[in-house]
Order: sequence, then C-alpha cells, then structure tokens
Amino acid sequence: MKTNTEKPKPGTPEFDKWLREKIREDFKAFENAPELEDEFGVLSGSLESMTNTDAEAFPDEPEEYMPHERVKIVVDNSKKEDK
Amino acid sequence: MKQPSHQLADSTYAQLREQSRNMITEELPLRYRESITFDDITGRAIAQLSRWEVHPDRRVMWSWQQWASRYAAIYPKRFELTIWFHSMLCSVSLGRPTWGAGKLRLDMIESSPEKTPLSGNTVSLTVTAAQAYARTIGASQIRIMNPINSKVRSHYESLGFTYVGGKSDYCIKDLA
Repeated sequence: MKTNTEKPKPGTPEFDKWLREKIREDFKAFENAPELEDEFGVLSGSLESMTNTDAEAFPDEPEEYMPHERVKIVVDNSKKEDK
Repeated sequence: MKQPSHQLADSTYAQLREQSRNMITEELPLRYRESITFDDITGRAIAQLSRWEVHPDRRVMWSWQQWASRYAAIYPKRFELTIWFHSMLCSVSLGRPTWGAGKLRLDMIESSPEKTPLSGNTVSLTVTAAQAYARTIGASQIRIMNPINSKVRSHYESLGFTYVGGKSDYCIKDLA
C-alpha cells in the first residue's frame, strides 16, 4: 500500500495521476455508503468553528498553533515568595 | 489592502482549488457526470444562499454573504465548495488547513433546506472534494468541526471518520 510519504511531488504528471487514482478510490468507497436522511440545513460547524484559532480548537496539539500562541505566559512570583 | 504575499497565496490556492475541483468533476461516477458541477462560493451561490438563510427550519442563524467574504479575506488557503445539480445549489462548505498544514478542518457544511436530487449524498461529495484538496495541499487528515447532532455524526462515522468527543467536538479521518 502506498503511504503519504511515497506520494509523487505536487505539480508533476505523476502527482496528477496519483491524485486521480485516489479520487476514483474515494468515489468507489462512498458508492455504497448509506445516504444521510434529513440531510437538510447546517450539518456541521458553527460560528465558533468559523472564528476560533487552531489553539482554541485543538488545545492539546501545540504543533498546530501559530508561534505566538505557543508562548506560555510566565508570572513572576519570586518577590511574593520572598515576603 | 491585501499584502502582496497574501495576494500571491490567494491566487495560488484558488488555482489549486480549481485544479482539484476539475479533477473530481472528471472522475465523477457516470450517473452524475451531466448534472453535477463544483465551484467556489460565487455571486450566483450567494443569491441562492440568501433564500436558505430565511428558511423557517434553519438550525443555525448566520449569513453566508457576510461570513464567506470575511473568511476568504483571512484564509487564502481555504477549502471552499459549492455543489450544484444543474442550476440548483445543493451544498456549500468552507474549511482551512491548520497552521501546521497537516490537517484540513471543515468549519461549516450546509445542505439545501429543501429536498434536492442530491439530498442524502452531498456529504460524501463534499468529503471527496475535501480529500482531493487536502491531498493537493499536502494535508494528511480531514477534521469536520461540530457535527450538528448524533445522526450526522454517525453518518460521518459511516464515511470513515472517528468522533473526537469532549470540548473539541469534531470528527477526524486520516488519508491513506
């Protein structure tokens, strides 16, 4: 089985061929998928999902944060402890 | 005013969206070939969406016209899709890659509030398009944010997604 790391370089004819094959596989896989009854209106998402950051949506995955979101706020309590 | 780098990203990713849309159109199952088209959220879509927004059964009150343009201005690498049956708008969705670019999150999926010839099948078409775009931009996982109810969640599970519970509330699928 081909893994993602073996995929051809984007922008090449090999990549287009690979992607086309993947799309065919996806259509085939969904061919017999059950239809969603009552598939009307909003199915997923919210105003929150439209506006929140990756840090807010996936707090346990710092690799998905923007650099400034990774900075921990450190509170200096040393003077307080001295008293 | 947009920065030149933002403009470049905007046009580059618009081209990538178009390429992946063209490819899924060409690979559509025969029964759909003459009737289904895919597009960005264009003016003709906004015109139909304004009717969806005032539908009495709508479960979430928000405006595509307002939010699609705002979202587009912020996220040049976005996934953006409308699914049409001839001239009838059947589904619309928006998403974006995470900052690390390894995941594509689908932030909103809405189907027509009225029955269409594609009712029941728009989610699988949306997921197929999202998977094609994710692969095009090098993402290896799809995340569907906030499924509206347990029935919809189960449907995503039937399409190969796994529900991540807790506060985050999304479904994930790794791409092979």
